[in-house]
Formats: sequence, structure tokens, C-alpha cells
Amino acid sequence: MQAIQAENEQVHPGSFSCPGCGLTMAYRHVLKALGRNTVVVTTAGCGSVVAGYFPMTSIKVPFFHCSFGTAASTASGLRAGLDMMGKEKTHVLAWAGDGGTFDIGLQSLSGAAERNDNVLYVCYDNEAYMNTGVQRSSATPPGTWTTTTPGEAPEDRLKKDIIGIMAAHGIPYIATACTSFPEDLRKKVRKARAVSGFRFLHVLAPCPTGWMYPAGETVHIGRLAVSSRMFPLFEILEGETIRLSSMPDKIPVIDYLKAQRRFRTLNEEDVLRIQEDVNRRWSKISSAGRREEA
Amino acid sequence: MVEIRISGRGGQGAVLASQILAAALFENGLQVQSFPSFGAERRGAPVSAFLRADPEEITLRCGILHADWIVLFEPDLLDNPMIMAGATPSTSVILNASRPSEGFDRSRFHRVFFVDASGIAERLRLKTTSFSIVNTAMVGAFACASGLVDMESIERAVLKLVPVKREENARAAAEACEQVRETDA
Amino acid sequence: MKTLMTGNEAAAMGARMSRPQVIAAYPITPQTSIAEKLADYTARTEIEARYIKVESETSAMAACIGGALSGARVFTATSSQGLALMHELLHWAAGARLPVVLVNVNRSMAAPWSLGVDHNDTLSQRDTGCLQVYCETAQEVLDTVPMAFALAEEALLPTLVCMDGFLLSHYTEPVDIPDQEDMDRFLPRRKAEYRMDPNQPFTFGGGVSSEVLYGLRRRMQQDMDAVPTLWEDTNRRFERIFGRSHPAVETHNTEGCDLALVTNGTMAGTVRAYLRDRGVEKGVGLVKMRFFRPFPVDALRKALRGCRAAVVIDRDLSPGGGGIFAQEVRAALHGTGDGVPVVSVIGGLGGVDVTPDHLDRLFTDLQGRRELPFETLWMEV
Repeated sequence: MQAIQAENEQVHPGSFSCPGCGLTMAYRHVLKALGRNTVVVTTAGCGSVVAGYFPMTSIKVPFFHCSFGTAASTASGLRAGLDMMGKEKTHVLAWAGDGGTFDIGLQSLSGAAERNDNVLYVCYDNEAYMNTGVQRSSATPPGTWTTTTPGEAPEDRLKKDIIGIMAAHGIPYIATACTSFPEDLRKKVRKARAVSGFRFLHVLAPCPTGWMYPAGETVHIGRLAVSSRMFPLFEILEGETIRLSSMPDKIPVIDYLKAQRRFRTLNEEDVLRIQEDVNRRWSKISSAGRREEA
Repeated sequence: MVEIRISGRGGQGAVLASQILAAALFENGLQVQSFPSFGAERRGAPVSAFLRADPEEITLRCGILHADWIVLFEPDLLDNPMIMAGATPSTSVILNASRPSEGFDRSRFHRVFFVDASGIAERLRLKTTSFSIVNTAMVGAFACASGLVDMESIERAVLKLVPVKREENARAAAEACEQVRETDA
Repeated sequence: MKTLMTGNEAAAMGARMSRPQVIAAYPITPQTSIAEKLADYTARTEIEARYIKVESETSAMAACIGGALSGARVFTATSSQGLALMHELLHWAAGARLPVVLVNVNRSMAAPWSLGVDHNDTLSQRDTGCLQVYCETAQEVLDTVPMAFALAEEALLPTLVCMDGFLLSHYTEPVDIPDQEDMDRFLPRRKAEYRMDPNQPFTFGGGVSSEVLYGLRRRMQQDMDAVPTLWEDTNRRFERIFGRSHPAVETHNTEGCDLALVTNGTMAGTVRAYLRDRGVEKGVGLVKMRFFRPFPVDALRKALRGCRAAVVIDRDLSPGGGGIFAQEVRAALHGTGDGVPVVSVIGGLGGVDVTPDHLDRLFTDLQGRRELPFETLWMEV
């Protein structure tokens, strides 16, 4: 693997995150790939807090903390204003968590996508409302323990298919990525950057605090998520053409689930159901998709 | 009224320690009020929990400015100005260490106590993936250093409030009570 | 049963004891542990309710409106930004005369982001038609939730039960949990006269003429005017069963006092501590405001009779206007002929600490002045 050079960094070392935080790795690589000529809008959530409390900030490029659920619409407004001021080349990045994207942010996300506003929207997905202490979101996978899906009643809904929703909007570029595959993530950001219109990246950002695994294992957990195909990596062009990214060989989903205490209440039957769902989703994507050229 | 500050790092259980102490004091017929430091803390960041105890109802609602007791889970927090804010020469401290470090300024405080809570936690295998669990030991040390609450109440509170390894945690509190030592004036 | 609880746990317990049937809640600091506790209770069927894990606060209140229209008892909780997202629907619920009970954990409004307490979030809902009650202790919170249901279901108006973020929500303190049987006696099941029922179909909320709207608003005001008496009755019933009383306005040491400090929320507790310590000797009294809407005009006038001056401490600010309670107090005293001057003080915004020392400095300053100031004073941080 190419050594990641410490040049073109758009973040300062250090943040307010927990040790092992996946989303801080994500924003470092996303901003590195976007470059200096970028402005960022982020909504309430870990992504806002870890970037820093006044008077500190971890981000070198212009950064705005907007109200919850309005990342996409705020970004649309920022884009329009920048364009009117002749700054069409400045990248506008909307940066939001799963809560702020799948749930409260869905209306503004759909609006911006439907208008094909020239914005890159990156959702860092840690699969729950982590900033407020681990409550379920519609991105929380089935069987997960959260404080609002406690022991007696763990999450029972399937993860919302945000990619399907975005594909239905027919936007130019969609991709899934994971912080454990930084080169793949940066490559996708560069591809998104080269295209105009509304672009959506769904980045899995493992969270040691909420997923309950040792802080040093974030990269490993992300790799298991991808290998098990719980979170497959692929792109969708113009809402239709699916291109599979290169991924490690498929492993059984139990290997991923047993590594995190948030899945501790799952029994054999639950695991079987999860494996079936993973298989179903994977076969849909892999049969429709073409493998990318190496 | 007694005002106590318990400080550690996020994830070390300072808040649980204050709740255990509050429960024990309450059981002894005192009015109590306990609360954590506020803000979006993250694991590893310095964190404090506060406690007031009084025979009369406590109606005051503000932060603790001048604590009578400061309990530190890590001695390097002595150098943290936020954690040590409001400490005066009438403040007593309890430190998780077996002995004073080089350059420790005894004159800053009223009474000073040391206990090797980390050693106790280690021996009883009380740890998470990130930290040794010293909170129950420190609670035991506080009880015996201050004389404000008896160990039976502490033990009952530990058994009631600690989520796992209750017996080991109760033992940690008891051992720390025996091992806590005051330095000379 | 006497136990230790945080304000949030007390709110969840008060809700649980009220036997809600529909709960719709969305997490927001510092309300979150209420939503979590309710989820826990519901999962273990200690509350028998449908818990809708909504995707935003707007949806939370919309779901509460829907739930209330079915005739069910509904409950939600939120804070600051979340309450703001409910704003349109608070007007809605009030106009629709639905008895939704909402616990709001007070927190300052962005921008910029702040987690500390002040009351701008709930006071901004002043004109929606919702009732507003402020609590000082966890015990009060636990008691006020069922009392709010009793009141709301009688007055047919939504009720906001307000509690200070962190200073009350996250403070652990002694609370006496009543018996569920006694609570069921105090608060029986909701009996909705009008609801969405195929057996007796009605249409709700359709467009009206100007005259009809005018009439409905007048009726709402009349019903608001009846609330103080309704609350007295509710409070009397509560006191008879549980031995605790929560009047709309509470006074301490105001008989012929020099300066009466008028405030709400946890600040009343700090004033109480100050009174016990030094304040009583200095001729200071406390007027604790529980109700803000309807504004308890009669009770307030009575409380301030005989005081030399009232000092209103607002943990809120209407920018361009001043302290919100101060304005309401001045309006309530206008034309009474008692001529009690009102000093307006702003303190504690964003959760800034207000301590007995701050209060002492304030009173020493005021008692030393020949003329009391009309312009708004700001407490030193």
C-alpha cells in the first residue's frame, strides 16, 4: 500500500473524538482528496463536536456548523451564493452522520438531490445517534443494542436502504466507502470531485464507543464489515450503472457480528436471518454490477 | 455541607463513583446532590463528578467552586488547572498513587492521602479494554480517609449500583479503605 | 419510596406513572436519558404504550397530535432546538385543544451551539396557547407530570413541563416515588369527548371563517382564565393524596420584605440557599414562579404586596425587549396602585453559574442605591 504522505492535509492533528474514532479518519481522507478549495457544512452530531469547540477547530478549510437536518439545504444555499460570486470551482461538502442523513435530514437531502444541486454530500455512518449517547437511527442494523433498543427489544428493523433512495433520484454519482479502505475512499472522492451535480458518498465509520469493541480495532472492524458484505463497496453512476469496488474475499457475517458487543444479544436464528439478508442484498448488487478494472 | 469533587478520565467511572458515594451517604440519612461535569465529553478526556452532602435539604443549584475534598483517579490531574480549579489550602486530596511524586507540593492542601488503587484494581482484575477500574477503590479510600461514611454503606451501594463484578468491586473498596495512608502534615 | 434520582429519571417516572399510551420522542441533549428511560420501560412493558422512534421533533409532535386525536394519552419530551422544530405544531395542538404533555429540558438556542440552560426555548413558545409550568427539583418534576396531565385533560390545552438542563436533568437528588395505586386514583384514564372514531365520525381542523376563529380564540382565553382555579383544585387533590403542594406561585419570607426576588426554575433553589444563609437577615424574600402561561396575575400581585421592590431575575432574554418574566411582571402589576417597582436582571444565560455570592453582590448593590434602576441589569459572570 502506498504510504499516505502528510501533505495536502486539510485537518490539524488532534480532535475532540474518542480514541479509535472512525469518522475522524474519514474526514481527513475526504478533505485530503478534495483539497484546499473546499468549504464544509456540517450538522449536529459527532462530526460537529469532534471538529472542535470554540475557540478550537481541527479543520483548516472554512467550516460551518448548521442546525440539525439541514446539511443538504444549507449546502445548496452556500453553493448558490458561491456561484453567484464567481467561485464555481470551490467544492461544497455537506458532512453529516446517519441520524442527520437517514432520519431528520432526509427531506433536505432529497430536495437537494432532486434539484441536482452541485454539492458533494458525505454521510459518515456510525449506525446510531452517537453524539447523544447511542440511540437507534434508521441506519442501525437489526439486532443492535442501543439505548433506545435495549436488551429486551434490540433493533428489529432492517437498515434503511439510503443508496436505493439516492439512486432513485438519478444523481450522477453515488458510492459506498469505508474508513478502513482509505485509498478507495480517496479515489471515490476524487471521482466525485470531477463530476458536477449532486454526489452522495456513504462512508461506514466504525465507532468503538457505540459498537463496543477495543479502540485500536477500528480499521479491522471496518474490514470485517466489508468482507462480510454487511457493507459492500460499490459505485452507482447516473442512478443506474453499478460498479463493484475491489474488496477482500467474502467471509461469514458471524465473524463481523461477534467482534462487537453491540450484537451480543443475537442468537443463532438472528444470525441466520442477518446472513440471509446480507446474501440477498449482495447477490442483487453483484449480479447487477460490473467489477471495476483493477 | 461537604463538597466533594471526583476526577478521572472519561470512561474511568468517576460519575459512577459519585453515585455510589451519594447512595451510601443518603442511606446514612444525609441529604445529597450529585452531578457530572457538563459538556460533550469523549473517552479519555478529563472528567469530574461532584457531590454535596448535608444534614439539611440541599437547594443550591450551581457548580462546586471550592471543594472540601478532591479525589483524583490519576495523579497527573493535579497539574490540570480545570480539574484543580477552586482548590484552596482547606481542600483535602486523595490520590491514586502509592507515594507522592517528585516535586509534589504538600502545602497546597489541607490533608493529603495516597492509595495504590491501580494496584488493587490490577490484582482484582478490574479493567476494561482501555482502563483499570479504580473508581470503587477510590470510593473506599475516600470513605475511610474522610470518615464521612462507613464501609458497610459503601459496600451495599457498590453491590447495588455496579453493573458487573460486584464482589470484586466491593473488595476493591474494602482493600483501599485499609491501604489508604495520610502523608505527614 | 424514597430514592435517589436525576431530574430526567424523575420525568420518565412521572410519565410512566401517568400511564401514557403513545410516546413519540427524538433524542437531544440534555433530554436524552428521558427518551432512553421511556424506551426501557416500554420494552419491559412497565409502560404499556406504543413508542414511536420518530425521525425528528416535528414528527414527534405531529405523532402526538395524531395520537391525541385517537383519544389516547400522549407524552413527549425535548429541548431547545427540538422544541423549536415543534413550534408550528404547538400552535396546532393548542388550537386543536389537545391535551399533549411535553417535558422540555431547557437549553439555550443556537447559534452558536450551547448546551447550557436558559429559558429562551420554552419562553419562545409563549404565544402558542400551551400552558407552561417550571420545576425546581426532581420531586417537583415527578409530581408535575401527572398533575399536568390532569390539568391538560381538563383545560384541553397542551402543557409544557419545563426543567433546567443539567442543573435539574442531570443532578441526582432524593425523590419520593408515590404508589401507583394512589396515582391511578389521582389520575384516571383519559376520557376524550371528541376523537377519531368510526363509530362517531367527526372532521377536525378544517378551514374556518374569520368570525369563527375570533370566537375560538376568545374561548381559548376564557379557558386559560379558568386555569388558575383548575390548578388550585388539582393541587389540592394532589396534596390530599400525596402530602405535597405545588401552587402556581410560591413565596418565602415576602411578608414586608425589602426586596422580593422573583424567579423560576432551579435558580429559585439557589435563592432559597441564599435566604437560609444570609438573605433573610438582609430583608430578601423569594417569589417562585411556577406558571408562566397562564400568567398568574392575581397570585403574583398578592405575593408582592407589602414588598418595597421586586427584583426579577430572568434566565432568558428577548433581544430588543429585555427579560421576559420582567416584562410580564411589570404588566401584571400595572394599574394595581401598589406601585411596587420592578428591577429587571438578566443572569445565567447559556448555563452561566449563578451562585449565592452573585445574589449577595446584586442585593448589596441594589440596597445601596437611592433610586432603583429601570434599565435592565446584567449579572457579572
